[in-house]
Amino acid sequence: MELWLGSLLKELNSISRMAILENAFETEKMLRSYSKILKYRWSHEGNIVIASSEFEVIKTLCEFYQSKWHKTFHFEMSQSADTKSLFIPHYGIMGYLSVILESLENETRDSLQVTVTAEGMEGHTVFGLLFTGGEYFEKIYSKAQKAKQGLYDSIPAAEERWTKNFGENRIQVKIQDKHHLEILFTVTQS
Amino acid sequence: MRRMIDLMKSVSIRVQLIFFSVLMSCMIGGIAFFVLHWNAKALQNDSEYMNYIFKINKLYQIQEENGKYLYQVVKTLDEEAKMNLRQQITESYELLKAVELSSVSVDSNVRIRVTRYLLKRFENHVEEVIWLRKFEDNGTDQVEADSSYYVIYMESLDILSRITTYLQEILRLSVEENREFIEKASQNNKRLKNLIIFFVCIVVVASISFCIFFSNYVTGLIKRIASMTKKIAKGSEKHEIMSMAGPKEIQELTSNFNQLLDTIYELNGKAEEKVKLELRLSEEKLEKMKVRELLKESQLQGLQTQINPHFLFNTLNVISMTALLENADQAYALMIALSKFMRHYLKKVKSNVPLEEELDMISQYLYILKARMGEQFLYSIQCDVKTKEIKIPVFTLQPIVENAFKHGIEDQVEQGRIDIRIKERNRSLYLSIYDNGKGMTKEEIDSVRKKLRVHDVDFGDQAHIGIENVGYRLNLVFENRVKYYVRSSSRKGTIFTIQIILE
Repeated sequence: MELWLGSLLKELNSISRMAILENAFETEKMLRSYSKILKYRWSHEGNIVIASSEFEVIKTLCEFYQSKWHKTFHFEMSQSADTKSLFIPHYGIMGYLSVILESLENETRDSLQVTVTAEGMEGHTVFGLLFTGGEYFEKIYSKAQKAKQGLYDSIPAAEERWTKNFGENRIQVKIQDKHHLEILFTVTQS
Repeated sequence: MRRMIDLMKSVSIRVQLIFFSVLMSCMIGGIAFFVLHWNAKALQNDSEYMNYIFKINKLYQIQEENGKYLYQVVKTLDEEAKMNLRQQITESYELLKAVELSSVSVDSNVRIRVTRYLLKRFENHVEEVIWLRKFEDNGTDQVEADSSYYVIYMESLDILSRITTYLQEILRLSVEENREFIEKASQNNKRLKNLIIFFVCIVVVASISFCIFFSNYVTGLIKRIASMTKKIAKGSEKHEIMSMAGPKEIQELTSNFNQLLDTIYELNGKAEEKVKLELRLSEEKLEKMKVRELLKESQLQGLQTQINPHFLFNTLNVISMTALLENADQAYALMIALSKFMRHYLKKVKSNVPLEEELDMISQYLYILKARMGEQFLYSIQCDVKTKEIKIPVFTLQPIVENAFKHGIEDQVEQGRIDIRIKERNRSLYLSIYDNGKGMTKEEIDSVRKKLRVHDVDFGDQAHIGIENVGYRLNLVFENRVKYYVRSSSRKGTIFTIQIILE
């Protein structure tokens, strides 16, 4: 881990303890979430990770954004596949999720729901990111695709990592009636 | 003749000079001899004539004296006067004979013979006057006018008068006879004078010509040497040597100069090789430095790429706002401090920032440290200078403060303290960081000093900025205008001072 990140996490931890002392539990929760995300982001860069660990961080990220946006969106996770024995590219799903959530920063996020799924079917495992709610997903996805150009946690970079590890056409993006944005990541079980 | 000239050119300048001097001396000597010979000949002719004139003049004087002696004899019958008179007459004969021998014209000879006859008569009259004077001596000095000796005496005077007249006549004739000779002598004198002037002119012209020729010759040699030296000094051609025919001295000079050139070429060759080597080394060093700078830059760029500063600061801001909403003032302040510190951290390492900015960053950093340590840690920043006007490399103070905290204070039981003092004295900026930590050993101080002295630092593979990097960047920016002072005492603390001499 980078030294600067170590220092940053250390300082964030100090601040979170200070927040507890001051009874600022929401602050403490956000700091803890953010620290966790940062730690995950920086600890496995360029590697493949167990899908469950990515799922765990996805949950943390969503919780963080829930705190950030004062719980103005719903978040759900469902797993039918065994994510503990499956490897996926680091930040493969997080890359999409974090960028899309960030792109929703300035939107109204009316009745926004985020669903993350992991389903096993016929020798494949499909991870899904489903966004439903407002009528802005076409625009949002287009914006998200352009966001963080050149960065590790951008959509093109995440796509590249999937392609590198599992081959072409492993990601499907579906936008329906501007209300639904569905992104499916397919992993063939060996 | 040409061989002679070539031979002359090959001998030494000294010999050439001596030769030319001898040549000039011979020329002047020959001219002087000729003039003297000419003059002697003229003088000889003159002396013969002058001797002739002198003898006549002498005769003339003797006759005048004869008159005086005769008067004494007539008056006193003085024996000495008698004797002198007789001697004078004898001498007159001799002189007259000599004049006769020198005489060239008939007229003169006739007059000389008449003069001799008159001299004989004068001699007879003198003897007669003596005899009559004795005979008619009255015992007194009184000359009696009616006496016989007086009559003879008067006749003698008359003869003397006639002798002098004849002598004058001889002199006149002599002058007339020698007029041509006198004119010739005069002409000779003029000619001699002209000849001397001519020869003097020749000698002067010859001397000047010689001086000009010789000086041109010598300066020509020197100019040629200078020209060749200049050409060699330009270094247009490699290993050029001086080659010049000339006197022995020039040959020796060129030979020595060529030896000197050989030494210079040899040294030059070595120096060139050394310079090339140094240049190559410095180029390699520079390249290495560039690579390292690029590496560092790329590391930071990578860092910035990876963490997405916008997202980071946005997040920190959201969290701090949450803390504020929850009335967690300390947490809020710490979040702000962390955010500011991170903003500073993500600046380009190569950039220089105003001292004010650096101090703001360090105060945030110390505030964060203080939050972590609580009452266990105190800090102060005191600055007496205009912090906006002075620029220093970013992250100059933080690594030193971090070092002081980590190695001096963090682990100690007693209350830790870090004081930062910035002051300006005598056009120098002093940045001092004091900690009351455990202090450093001599080896540790030496190690820190060594790290600060380096001008070429290996950044390693991490985007971390340490003491070495501080020294490297300060040395790079301020060159020899930066000095470091590290003083440490066990269990008392350490003072780290950076002196920057302001322009």
